[in-house]
Amino acid sequence: MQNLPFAAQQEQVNKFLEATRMLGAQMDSMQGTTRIIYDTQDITTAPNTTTSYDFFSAVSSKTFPAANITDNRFEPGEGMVIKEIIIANIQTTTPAPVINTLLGATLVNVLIGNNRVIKDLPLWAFGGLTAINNLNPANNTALTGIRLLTNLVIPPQVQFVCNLRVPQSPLAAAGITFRVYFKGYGKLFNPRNNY
Amino acid sequence: MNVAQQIVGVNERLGNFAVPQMQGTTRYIYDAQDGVAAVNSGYSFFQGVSNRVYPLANINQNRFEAGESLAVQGIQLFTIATYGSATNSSAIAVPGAFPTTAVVNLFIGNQRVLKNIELGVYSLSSLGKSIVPTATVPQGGCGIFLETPIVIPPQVEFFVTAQISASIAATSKVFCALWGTGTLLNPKETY
Repeated sequence: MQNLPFAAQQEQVNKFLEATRMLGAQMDSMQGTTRIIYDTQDITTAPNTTTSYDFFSAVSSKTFPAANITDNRFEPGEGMVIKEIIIANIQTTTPAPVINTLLGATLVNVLIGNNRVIKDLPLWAFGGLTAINNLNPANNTALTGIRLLTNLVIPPQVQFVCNLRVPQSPLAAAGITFRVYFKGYGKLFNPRNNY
Repeated sequence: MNVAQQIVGVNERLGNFAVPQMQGTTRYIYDAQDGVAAVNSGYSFFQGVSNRVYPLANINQNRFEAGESLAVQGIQLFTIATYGSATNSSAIAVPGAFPTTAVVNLFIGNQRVLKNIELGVYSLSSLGKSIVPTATVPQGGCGIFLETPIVIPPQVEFFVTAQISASIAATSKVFCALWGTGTLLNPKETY
């Protein structure tokens, strides 16, 4: 998604400031930025009998390159708007495609502060089979993404989790190491002046 | 009028004044039926969805809970062949090419709000702004973005009927999806 019109960018800013004000966090003077955060999880570790996987909830125990944040809540003065969600299978040897397979029926749920803000959104909605608000075409079938129709604000100090529910428990040989990306407008802590 | 204003306007006319305080979201709901191995067969989606088990559907009844609603901005049909033979989620067959003419109707609260929309042949060409892009045409089915959003309020039943000209093997599944901007129940603050 390139050259977003200014109005579309400003929507994210307005929603972010409104939501954080309602929660008592005055964020207007913080530094505006673009944020991309991610977490990675191998969901084919044997023996595997589960079909539900939480992302971001355990990033504090992970090291680079598994994640680029250290806690699943933002520091005071920081926050972001989730505008794009990318699901990538980064397994390098035999990555299973995530689009145009039943793995596309994987359901995405996003929870912010105990509220569910994305409910059972299948990867089918992201791309490949369907692209309901498509991003630029992916260069392979192992990743897919969506630009959300509304802005979802993660305020500072509020925990967030992304849950993936896969249709069947993946076999160890399936080759699925999911990485979940959130991308959007954000704020960085800036006690003095901003740029 | 934007999509959010239409959701609020429709709900307020039905007496749901709390909807502006609900959580805005992006929703995509779908339901699946067995293929019917006969030409010009009729399908009914979302009615009886409570009998379907995930991943055949991602909702459990054909009405939204209190506080939930959906402004339908697009509709799609697609098939998955040899659905039952899959043993591993990553090994299931690529969705088949969608067959020929398919006419759909959307009903909300006993009213028909989409009337005999032809999705199949129309979108196979992948021409036009309203066509749902797919990775490999015509794999992935057929679908269009609607020219106007259609709001499904909470607690009101909805269903889709389809008539498909081609025979679809009974081992395949036919999926119907609706998507758009929605609301989720949120009794406190929104994010």
